[in-house]
Amino acid sequence: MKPPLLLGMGSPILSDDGVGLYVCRALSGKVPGVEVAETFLAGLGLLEIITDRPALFVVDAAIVSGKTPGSVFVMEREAGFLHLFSSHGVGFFELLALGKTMDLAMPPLIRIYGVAIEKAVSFSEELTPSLSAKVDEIAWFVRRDIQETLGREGLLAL
Amino acid sequence: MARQITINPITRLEGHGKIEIFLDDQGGVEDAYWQVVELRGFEKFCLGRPAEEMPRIVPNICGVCPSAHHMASVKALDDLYSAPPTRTARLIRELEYNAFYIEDHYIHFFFLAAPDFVMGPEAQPAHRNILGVIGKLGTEIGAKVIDIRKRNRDIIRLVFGKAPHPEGGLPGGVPRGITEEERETIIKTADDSVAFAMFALELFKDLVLKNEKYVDLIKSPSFSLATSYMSLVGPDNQMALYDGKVRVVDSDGKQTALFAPTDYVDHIGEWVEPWTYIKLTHLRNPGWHGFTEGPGSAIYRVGPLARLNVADRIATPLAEKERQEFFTVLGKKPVHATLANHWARLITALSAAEQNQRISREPDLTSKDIRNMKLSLKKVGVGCVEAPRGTLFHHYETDDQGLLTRVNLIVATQHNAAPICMSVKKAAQGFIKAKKPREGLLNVVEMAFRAYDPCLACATHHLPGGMPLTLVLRDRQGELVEVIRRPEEQ
Repeated sequence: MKPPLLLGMGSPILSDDGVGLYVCRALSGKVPGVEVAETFLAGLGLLEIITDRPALFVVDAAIVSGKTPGSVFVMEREAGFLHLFSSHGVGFFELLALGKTMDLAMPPLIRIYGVAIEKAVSFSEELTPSLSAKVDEIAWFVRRDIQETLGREGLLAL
Repeated sequence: MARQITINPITRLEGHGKIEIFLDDQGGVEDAYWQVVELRGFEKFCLGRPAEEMPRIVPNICGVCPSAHHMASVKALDDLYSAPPTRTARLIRELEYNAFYIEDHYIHFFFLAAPDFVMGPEAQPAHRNILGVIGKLGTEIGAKVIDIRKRNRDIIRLVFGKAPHPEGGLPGGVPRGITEEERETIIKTADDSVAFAMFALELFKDLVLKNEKYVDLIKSPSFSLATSYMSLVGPDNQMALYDGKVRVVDSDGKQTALFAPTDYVDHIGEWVEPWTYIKLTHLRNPGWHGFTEGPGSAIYRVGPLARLNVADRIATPLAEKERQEFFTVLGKKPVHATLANHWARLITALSAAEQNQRISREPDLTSKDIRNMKLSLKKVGVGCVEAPRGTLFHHYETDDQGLLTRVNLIVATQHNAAPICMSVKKAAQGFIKAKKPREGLLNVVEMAFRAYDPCLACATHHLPGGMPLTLVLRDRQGELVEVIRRPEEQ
């Protein structure tokens, strides 16, 4: 089995949308026992990256009304699966449901860190200055939460 | 904590499609629009950058189909630097591009087309999905799809780095060669891909062609649209995916244009409508006459069905046999049945797999001559490929230093935007006869949309995958009758 995975998601050319990539870049090689990776892929493209892991942690940008940009919230949700109208519509939770149905080795432990961002994003290969200033703090929070979670689940030795 | 979850983090920034259907006083459909409400601005973002950065940047436009943008970009650089690839480089690029086609087309068929035909178009959405398909046909089918996709993605990774997010494209060549040891694996993948393609086609025939109701649905006038068609063709007008001339046939199948991709501006007009962020396109000859079909219309379609309607033949034997059967069953060229895109997609995937069988056995594939280094900046470059969803153009202009001064992209969903509007309207008019249509009837309308597999990320050059759709029904006074969202709001 592969080690637990921390996956940063987002677009590298859409400014704050890519905050998950920046957080993972800041944590590369700094979370003992955890593989850290970045991706902007969607849908089935992620399947082979996330299977055969004891735990999966995802950090991604999210627009949530009332949340200050840069604030982090943890999401856990049961996977569902809906009818699609485009091959671009295979979302993360749909992917988890598909993997489960097909008896693939899906990670039993999944936590998603949503980093609140402003709704309006524009093309840029840099984060907005205010969010950029918070990346290290967000990374520290994510790292600590991952270690605590793995410790609680008895997965730190992996 | 669970109470906080109101969004899907992957789809929180997605392009937003909206189908708006206006009903008349009798409850029939008066009009229908497919709207895209999103930003543009990608081209502007690129200006001032070195042109060589484009193959790294453009795959980021879309998290699902990056290989097509990457290849069009690399070919634009070939043209910009007057550096055609060496024979081996071209073989390697075609190998990668065919592998991409295989993985792309099977997602569409098994995830989008199959649920409608396996579960039935009127089945409840909770069951009408890939999980329903797997439940009915068995998990081994899903495993086969994932295995063949993974192995073709391995080819993409081998040639261009991170799969399926290629970024190693170079003007005049490819970043690495193929070894004899790697050739063995590629041959096995290509052979198995052909076997899988034949399996998928047999499955389609069993599920769809043997069911009279489904064949009637495909042939239904409500799913037919008499347009012109555009795609790339190679020598003798054979179907081409990686390179060729652009051919256009009219709604009667007569050739109306055959041109080099560099001349696209002379043949394709672009304009903006206030109700959508997609720049719509039309044929300059015969010129814009509005959203009309039939002879004289400037509306044209691209994609799998267009490829079969435009090409006179397919170079590979198994796919050519299937092409002939396609027209025997559905009628003479051009076939205007929008749902025939599904069958055409499977035939294209078979052809791509057969092409990789040939390429994988080419002696020159493992040559070290992988880069043409004679670069000469000519300040304008156009790259064109047949993307899975249709003909894709990348047009770059630079200053004397090779810094971009103009970027223009025309993607499949732009070509198809007007036909999608028209297809949705026809399907809605054909199937919605009451103010409160049943869920299954609305899905039939969506089927017209789904057959094109549109990509809003690509069309607006903006977003990485994910794409919700809102279907709005209004009465003649504009009052809301019903709103349906896909995915349903969490």
